[in-house]
Amino acid sequence: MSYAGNVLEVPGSERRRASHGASWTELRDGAIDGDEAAWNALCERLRRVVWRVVNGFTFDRHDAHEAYAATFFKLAERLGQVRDPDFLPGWIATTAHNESVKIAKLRQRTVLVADFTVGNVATSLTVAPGSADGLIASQNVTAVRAGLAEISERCQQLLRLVTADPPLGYDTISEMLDIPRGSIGPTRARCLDALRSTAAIQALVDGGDS
Amino acid sequence: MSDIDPAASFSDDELHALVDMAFDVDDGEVPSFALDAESFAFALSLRGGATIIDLVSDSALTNELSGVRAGGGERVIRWQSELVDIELDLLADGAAGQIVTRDDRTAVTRVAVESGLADDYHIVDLEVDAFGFFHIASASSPLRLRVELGEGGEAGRFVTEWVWR
Repeated sequence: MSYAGNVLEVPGSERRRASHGASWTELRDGAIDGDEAAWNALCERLRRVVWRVVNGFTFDRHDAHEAYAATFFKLAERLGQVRDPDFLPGWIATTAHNESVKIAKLRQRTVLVADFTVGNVATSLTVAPGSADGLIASQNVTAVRAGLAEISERCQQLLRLVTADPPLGYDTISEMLDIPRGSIGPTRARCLDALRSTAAIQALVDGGDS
Repeated sequence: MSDIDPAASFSDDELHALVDMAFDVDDGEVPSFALDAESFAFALSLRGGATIIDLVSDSALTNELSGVRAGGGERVIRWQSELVDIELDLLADGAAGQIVTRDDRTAVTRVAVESGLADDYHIVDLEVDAFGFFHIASASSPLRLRVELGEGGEAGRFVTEWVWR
């Protein structure tokens, strides 16, 4: 059973492809010089990771917007102070986390990872028409979403961050989740194992084997 | 470790990729109103050429009790630079504050508040009295202060971080 080669469109995939090219340094320097195209390309590369971090909190639409906007306002303010642009994904993920925590505190809410709700995947997952591979991929993602709802919030948090794109360094994840850097790899493996053991994934695997 | 045989299920790499897709599906597209904030942040960053003043304290983030100050503020935020100290007291409706220069020879020549996002954005010059006190009648969120020292800002231009309320 493999997802490889399946035609599967998920939110943001188009933007990921569109922003390849210039280096982080070129985009950073261009944006500082007032080049709007450079700024837009920078945002394209970074918005998914910001959105992923913000959605790890139990925010309503308004607060999610605030956390997202506050993160990009801070990026615009601090862009010139980012010493190594290659670390921008980690920097902005940490900033999004901090801004989200700040908003959660202002609302005097407990900072919790968002509940992983399993809705109708067909509304947001586009399967290539007539593609058997696409259908299998859709079923796989649906099962994984159901499986994620079964594992611990801590595992959900970790998997949310280790699968972010652009990838986040372990130092960043360690700081955001307040766990030792050295335990991220083993914890990831345990969380994937836990996911693999869920009823949702097992049902999928058993169904595929029968 | 579980008893699941990875060979009969997904490999770590496959599962990792599916998890990534699952989160993308669950999070959905970044909504357009959030994307507008990116452009707006960039447009504002080009204005004024001011230095961002350092945040010293924010009562909302340091667990200070609200309402303990004489002014009855709900949240007190302080910024500081080598030239100026700024205090902003957020009230239920509007805000009040004080700006004090560290050098008596340096005059505060302009204080303005920027507030709102995109279509709601506006900037308003504030009246500052002889003691540096100012009052903001009402301000939508987010807001930030702009301060100019000396004629035309020649002694310094500062801007606070955005304050979300």
